[in-house]
Amino acid sequence: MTRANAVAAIVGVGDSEYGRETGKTAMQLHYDAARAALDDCGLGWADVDGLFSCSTSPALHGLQLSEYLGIHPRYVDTTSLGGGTWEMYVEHACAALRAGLCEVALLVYGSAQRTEFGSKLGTGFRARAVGPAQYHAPYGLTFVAAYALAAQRHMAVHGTTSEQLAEVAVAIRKNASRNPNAMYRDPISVDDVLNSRMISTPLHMLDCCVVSDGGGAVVITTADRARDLRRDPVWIRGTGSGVSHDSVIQMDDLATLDAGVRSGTAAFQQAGVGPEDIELCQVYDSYTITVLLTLEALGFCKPGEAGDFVSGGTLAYDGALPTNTDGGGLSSNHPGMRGVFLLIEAVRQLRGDDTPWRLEHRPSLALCHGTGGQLSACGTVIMGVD
Amino acid sequence: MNEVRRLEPQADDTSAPYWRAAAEGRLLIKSCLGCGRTHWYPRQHCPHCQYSETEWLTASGRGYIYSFTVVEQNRSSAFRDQVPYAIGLVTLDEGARVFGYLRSPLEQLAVGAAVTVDFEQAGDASLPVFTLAEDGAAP
Repeated sequence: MTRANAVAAIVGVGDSEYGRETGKTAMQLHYDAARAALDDCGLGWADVDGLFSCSTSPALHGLQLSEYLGIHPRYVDTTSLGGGTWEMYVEHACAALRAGLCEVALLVYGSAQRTEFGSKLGTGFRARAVGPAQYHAPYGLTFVAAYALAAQRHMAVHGTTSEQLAEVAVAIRKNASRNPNAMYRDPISVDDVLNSRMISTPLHMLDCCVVSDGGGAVVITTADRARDLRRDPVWIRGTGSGVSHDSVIQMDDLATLDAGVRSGTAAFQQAGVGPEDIELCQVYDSYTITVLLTLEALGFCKPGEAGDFVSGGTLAYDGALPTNTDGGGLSSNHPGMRGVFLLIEAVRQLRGDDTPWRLEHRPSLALCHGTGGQLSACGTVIMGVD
Repeated sequence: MNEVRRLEPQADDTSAPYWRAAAEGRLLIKSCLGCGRTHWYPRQHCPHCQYSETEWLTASGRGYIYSFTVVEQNRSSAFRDQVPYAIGLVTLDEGARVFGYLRSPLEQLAVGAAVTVDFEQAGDASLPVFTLAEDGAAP
């Protein structure tokens, strides 16, 4: 893997404090994360000329964030497609860099959703029954229920079991035990997952992501500039995006993450590698079912076989395919949209950053895959180090 | 009561006939005048082929459960007193897939089970819901 193929590299990553209520506002968390990422690469605020961020707030986020930070980027992208948007921002940033529309892209996210809405976000219901929502809002479709519908379908079509879904949570919790910043670190067993409170059948509480405050940021620049900066560049080898639907009630096949099939195919094709070459995965784990669907969509296993694939600790840091090595959304942090944290963790492991949860064997090729909304849209990024 | 009112469907030009029919005990879906495929929720155009002309079709109301879930936790004031309740996707005989409450004993629900449409009041609105068909046989 040489840098000759790559247009751009991730040169800095950073996160704010995260976890239960931080006492900070969403805007403050954006600043904290951005500052940490800029400190990481040694670039300054004046260097940033591209801003990539979105929010679920009703404000014109690109303007509000630029104003709050006090910057005037010449390129702003507030594409808002759910939690996987940050993986799509990598693709967008590469395109902008290639076109010369910006030189230093700052991808940033921050949310104080736990402080603002409390810990039961996925089971609350705030949509008005207007527009397309008029067909599902009156029926109490929660976020957890949306994913539960997919899990139920996957079980019916493929025979996937609750135990197999639980294996995902167990492995990722094992990874979280090494991360002092993770919200939940105590090891859990399959039985613990099955005995946790049922939220919406078949998903139990421990099948669902945590709810936290937090912010994260990533800095991407051209190959030329990357060469001169303080950290080893992490080269962007391939990207892909896919859009499927908005509400799960309009999803074509609930047992297939179609948006992920498309984003993954594009990313692998551009990178010129296959699933067998990937040494580290950071995949969106809003729910255990999200991970199973993703592994199948990306071709790590055949459709219907993800349950077997994840059984026995495959995704643990010492397993065959280390996944969500920081403890993911299931155990570490999930401030509403966690796509940026997938990128941050992949970069940290690829660079061999000195953290308590650093992998013993440094990987050289990693895949990040974000899934947003209700299995609605996906972004895939393949990145590597020399 | 205010919370329930807030979640009543707000009819628009496209959906007004749909909700009127529901109040009359009929489930309407759309059929494309170009490709012939049915769809739900209703649009003016066909979301399969994007042809601009569609017509209403009164569905038989029969179908089978494509997927379902029993919601046991919902903190919203509009729903927290209703848990546990079942919601699901139903593939109608006509091909379109619809979403709604499944109003049969929860332990009898299964993917593949045959269902028929029913209607229930929610404030001023009439909502299509589904119940297990008498024979309950999977297709």
